[in-house]
Amino acid sequence: MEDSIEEIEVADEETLVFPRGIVGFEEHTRYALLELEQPYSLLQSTDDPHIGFVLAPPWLSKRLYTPVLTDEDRKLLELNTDDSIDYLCIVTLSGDGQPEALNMRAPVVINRTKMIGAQVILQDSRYPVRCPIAVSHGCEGYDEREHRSNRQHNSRGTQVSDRGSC
Amino acid sequence: MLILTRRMGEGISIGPDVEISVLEISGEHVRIGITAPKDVQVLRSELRQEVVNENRLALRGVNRRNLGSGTPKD
Repeated sequence: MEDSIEEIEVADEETLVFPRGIVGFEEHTRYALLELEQPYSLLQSTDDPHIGFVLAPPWLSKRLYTPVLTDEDRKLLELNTDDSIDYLCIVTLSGDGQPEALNMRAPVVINRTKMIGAQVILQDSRYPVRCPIAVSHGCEGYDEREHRSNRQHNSRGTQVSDRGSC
Repeated sequence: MLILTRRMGEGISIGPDVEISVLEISGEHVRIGITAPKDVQVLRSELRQEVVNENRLALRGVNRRNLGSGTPKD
């Protein structure tokens, strides 16, 4: 089955730069973020039409998500206190194209103010690489109670767009 | 792959900026110390590979995506 490729134009100022690309795909550094059916979006490489990742907001896991970025992560994203950041998770699809899992261990972090992005592998081992999405059950196997006692706040004033509590 | 055999207390130098030290050997476990510049990400291999594998899985079938149904109401 041949993939049909639809061509769209993306202005330079709407292009995100991923200095380190996506993990395992480091050679592709320029992406466009396109809207799909809510709340999904598509991180589409502008270098290679075959490289595109469906992204979803972490609140789809129905769990509180408080990822912590290291100083090195912030430096890579050129993150200042006034910058606006988004955390989005790469979605793995099932055989019939339905969203199956979210990667919460390695979110795509986007500095919206500077249009810089990265896939950050978090230190926190409680977030799974593969968090199954079930519409009614959210993220299976992720213990909210354990998470609450160790919660750290991102106290540097950056906006974190996650919704979500259980 | 370069293969070296080291004893406890010995090290490996990778380029001018990375040092690996064998700190302790206990049964099946080796305690390894790593000195590297802050912008070099140091990860357990299995974790990085897990993320690479999941990313590859995520790529497959993106063109067959079917996202319209069953979006949870928040």
